[in-house]
Formats: sequence, structure tokens, C-alpha cells
Amino acid sequence: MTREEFTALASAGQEPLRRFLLALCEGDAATADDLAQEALVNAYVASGSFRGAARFETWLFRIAYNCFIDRLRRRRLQPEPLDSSAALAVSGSDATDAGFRHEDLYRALRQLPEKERAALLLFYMEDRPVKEVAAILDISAGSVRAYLTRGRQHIKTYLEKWKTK
Amino acid sequence: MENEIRDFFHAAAPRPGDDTTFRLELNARLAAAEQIKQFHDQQIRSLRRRTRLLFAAGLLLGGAVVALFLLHPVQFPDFPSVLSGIPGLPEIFPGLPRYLPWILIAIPIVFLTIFLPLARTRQRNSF
Repeated sequence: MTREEFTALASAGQEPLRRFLLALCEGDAATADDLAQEALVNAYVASGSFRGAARFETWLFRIAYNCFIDRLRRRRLQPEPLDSSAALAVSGSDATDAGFRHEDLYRALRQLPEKERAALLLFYMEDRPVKEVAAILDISAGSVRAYLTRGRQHIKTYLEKWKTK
Repeated sequence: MENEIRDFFHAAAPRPGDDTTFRLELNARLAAAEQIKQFHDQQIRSLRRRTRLLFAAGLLLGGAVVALFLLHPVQFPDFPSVLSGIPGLPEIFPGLPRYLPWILIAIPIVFLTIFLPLARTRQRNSF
């Protein structure tokens, strides 16, 4: 696969990928974009071994998730406090409102283990089917459903608060 | 409940930053990774060629053994009497003739149990 072919294929999945990693990294845009680029470069280098058994985006998300886990293990990623500039600077306009919306999401997700957090983001935010979430996280569909059930219970409190706004 | 959660995530979804800067940085990193990619592609081609050769050799060898057996049928060897004929072996490994068939069965099972999960772990990023 040439670089042009890869770029054309990857461009459609770039924004969902960056959004997913941004939510995983709790608003740290620099780290999220660095991870996204690392994932895309790794995907490009390994594009010769992509056999087309799954969708290209699924494969890309899997590489990105593995990059996130590797980074977490290497650096013990410390999320910045939610009132920091990193969390508020994600959206361009009306930073206070945008930051508050993200604050709810990040607070809801912070207490969850990584796989549960990723499963919720992929299923609810990125609207991926259970089978695809299982392929991305390299777990069974049953495990995905279990994570989603547990995750829903965990974020119930934040959901109630969000509904009353 | 499902729709409420989905609405919550969509409403709270973060928006990534400037796309132009991201693409410029990405293109620079992809250009830098070009050499690594070429080396990686060369390795994959070499591995696939080696796998094809080994597979062909295995087929030929298996076919030759089957052909030989069909042309010159022989009885399955009597392990205890064969092994007891080897000078010195019965003294060093007295139990070997009795356990040899089990050892021959156990070796591939142990090999698959240990090496198959390792091989799967190394293929974490491949689809």
C-alpha cells in the first residue's frame, strides 16, 4: 500500500479516532493527537500485513487502543484535573460550556477501568456494534456486554445530574 | 435508558483540535517511517516465501513417505524390542520403551500449549 493510498483510507477514520483517544486521555489533546499519529504510523508500517479480514477502521482503532494501553503502562498516564486548561481547551468556542460538558463525561469515565471505559466510548460515543467493539478490544462479545452493563451502572449518577440541567 | 446514555455521550463528546496541523505533523511522521515500512514489507515477503517453501517441502516429504509405504508396506515397529536392540540404551533409560509412545504424544501437545499462546500474543496488532 502506498502512502497516498493509506492516507486516503485513513482520512475518513481520523476524526473518530482522535475523538476516541481524546476521550480516553480525558481531554489531554496533545497526548491524544500524539497517540493518534503513533497509531497511524504503526498502521502504515504494518499495512503490508493487513489481510482485510476486518474493516480498516476496526483495525486502526485496535492499533490505537493498543498504543494507548502501551503508553499507559509505560508512563502511568496521570489525568490532569478537570478544571485545568487542557480539559477546557478542547473545543474552540464557548470554552466554559464545552469544558463543563466534557467535565461530566470525564468524571463519569474516570472511575472506570480502561477496557470498560473504552467499551462505553466505542459503543455509545462512536456507535460501533458490539461485535466490532469486541474485535477492537480483543475480547469476546459477552465480555463487551458485561462491561457495558457495569459501565451503565457506574455512570448512572452523572446521567441523572446531566438530565436535570 | 439506552438512548439517554447515547445522547449523553454524543452531547459530551470532545471535539479534536485543528485538523491542518495534525495532518502536517502526520505526513512528516509517515515520511520518516518510510524506510522502516520498506524493511518491514521486505521481512513479511521473506517470511511468506519461507512459509510457502516449508509447506511445499512438508507436502513433498509427506507424499514421499506415503508413496514409499504404499510401495513397500511395513509393519508398525515394536518399540520395546527395537529400543532394547540399541546398545547401552536399556541401561541408561530402563523405562523408555514403555513410555516412549506417551512421550511422542505429549511433545506436540506441550509444544502447542506453550508456543501457540506466545505466537498469538506476538500477533496482537494483526488482523
